[in-house]
Amino acid sequence: MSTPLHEKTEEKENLKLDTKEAAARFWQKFQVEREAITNDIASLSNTTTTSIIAKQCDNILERINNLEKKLTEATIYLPSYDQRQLSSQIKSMIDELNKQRARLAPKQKFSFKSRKAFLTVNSYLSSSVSSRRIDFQLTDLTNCVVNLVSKKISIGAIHIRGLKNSVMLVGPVGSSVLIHDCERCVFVVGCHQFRMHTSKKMTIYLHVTSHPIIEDCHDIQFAPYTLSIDGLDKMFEAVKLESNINHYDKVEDFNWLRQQASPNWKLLPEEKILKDWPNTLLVSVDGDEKSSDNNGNNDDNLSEGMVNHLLKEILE
Amino acid sequence: MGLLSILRKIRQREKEIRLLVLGLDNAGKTTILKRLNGEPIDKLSPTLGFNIETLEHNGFKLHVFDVGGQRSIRSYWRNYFEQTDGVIWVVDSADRMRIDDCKKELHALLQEERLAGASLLIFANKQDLPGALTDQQIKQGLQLDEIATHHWAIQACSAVTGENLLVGMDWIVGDIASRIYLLD
Repeated sequence: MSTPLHEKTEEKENLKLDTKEAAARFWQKFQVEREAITNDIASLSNTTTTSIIAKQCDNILERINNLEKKLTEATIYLPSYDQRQLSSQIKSMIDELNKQRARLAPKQKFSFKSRKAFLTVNSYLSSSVSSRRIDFQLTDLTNCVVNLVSKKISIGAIHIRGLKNSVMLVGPVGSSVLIHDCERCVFVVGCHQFRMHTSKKMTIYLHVTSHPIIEDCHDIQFAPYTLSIDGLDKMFEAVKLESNINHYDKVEDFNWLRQQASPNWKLLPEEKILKDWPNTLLVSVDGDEKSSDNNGNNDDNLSEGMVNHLLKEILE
Repeated sequence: MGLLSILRKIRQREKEIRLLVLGLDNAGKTTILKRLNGEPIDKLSPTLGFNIETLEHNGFKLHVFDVGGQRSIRSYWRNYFEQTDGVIWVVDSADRMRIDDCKKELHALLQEERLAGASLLIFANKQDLPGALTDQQIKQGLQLDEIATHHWAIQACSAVTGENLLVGMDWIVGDIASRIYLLD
C-alpha cells in the first residue's frame, strides 16, 4: 500500500526539481544574453556615425525587449526572488542603453518621408455640414495632426482605421471610440467606451468612464487625459460624459486573461506625461482670431514641430 | 412520451424563451440588454465574458444571453447556441467600415446547425448617432434578403434613447411564441 504513496511523493519531488532546474537554466541563459547585451552597449562608443549608433541602439533595445518577454513567459516557474532580480537587471540594461544613446547619438530629429497635413475640425466644418453633432471616421492618414477639439460641435462617435505616425486630439466624445490598425500615434481622447484593435506603439491620453480594452495590440502606453482648455467642463457636459470618473488605467487586454499585468500595455511614466499642450496646436481650436492668422504654410510648420515633439517619446 | 415532448410541456407551463444577443464588439449589445431591464447604461464596460438577464415580456420569461463581441472571444459564441429560440443580432449603424465584417459574421452564424429554426432579429442600433446608416442601408449591407433559413426582421433602434427596442422585442417574442407555444 505504501508504494503508490511513495511514488507520488517522488513524482512531486521530480516536479519540484524540474521547476528548479528550469529556473536555474533560465537564469543561466538570461545571464549569457545579458552579458552579450551589456558588452554591445559598452562597445557602442567604438562607432562614430550617429545614425549607425541609433540603429544599433534600436537593435539592442529589441533584444532587451525580447529578453523581457521571455522573462514574462518564464514567470510561471521562476521563484519570485529571481523574477525581481532579473527584472531589475533588465531595467538597469535599459537605463544604461538610454544613457549611452543620449551621450553618443543625442536627440536625432525625426523627419517625415511624405507630406504632412494639419487637419482641424473647423476646416471640415466650413467645407460642409450644418449639424452641430457629428460622427467622425478617419482612415489611412500618415504623418498628420488631427485636431477635432471644438466647442461648436459635439462628437457622437469616432471610428479610426490605419493612422500612422500621427497625432490626434479630440474633446469629449459622447459614446465610443473604436480604433483599428494604427501605429506610432499619440491620441488624446475622452469617451465613454474605448476599444483598440491590432495596433502598436501607441500613446493614448485617455479619459474614459468604463474599462478601456485592447485586442491584438502591443507597445501601448496609457496616460490620463491632460488636455486643458477653457470650457472643457462644458464640453464634457454637452456630451454627458462624467468628468470625475477616469478608468484610463484599468485596461483589459483580450489577449491576456491572466492575473499578472499584461505585457502589451503599460502606463506612461509620470515624468513623461505631457501636461502643457503646446499652444501652437491649440490656437486652431474653434477658429479664434489667432488661428485666422495662420496660413497654410504656417500650419504645416506647426504640425511638423508638434508631431516631432509628441512622437519623440514613442520613437525613443 | 418522448423526452422532448416532456421538455416542451415543462416549458409550455413556464413560457420561457431563450434569446442570444450577438454582434460585433461596440454594437451596443449590453446597452440594449441593460436598457430593456431598466438598468443604468452610462457606466458599461466592454463585455469580457457574458451577461445573463431574465426579463418579463408580454407574459413570457426571457432568458437573455449577451456574449462579448471582440474578435478573440467570438469563437466562444458557439457555447451558447444550445436550445436558443431566437438570436438578436445587434449592429452599430454608425460603423460603416465594418459592415462587411458584420455581414460575414452574421452569415457564418446562420450556418450553425444548432441555431436552425431560431428567429432572427436584427437591431440597427445607434440610430441616435448622426452618422448612422438607416435600417434599409443595413439591410442591403448585410444582404438580409438572402436569408432563407430563418424568420428574420430588422428594426432600427437606439439603446441610448430606448427608441423602438420594445417594437423589436415584440416581434421576436411573438415570432417564437407562435412557433413554440401556439402550434400544438
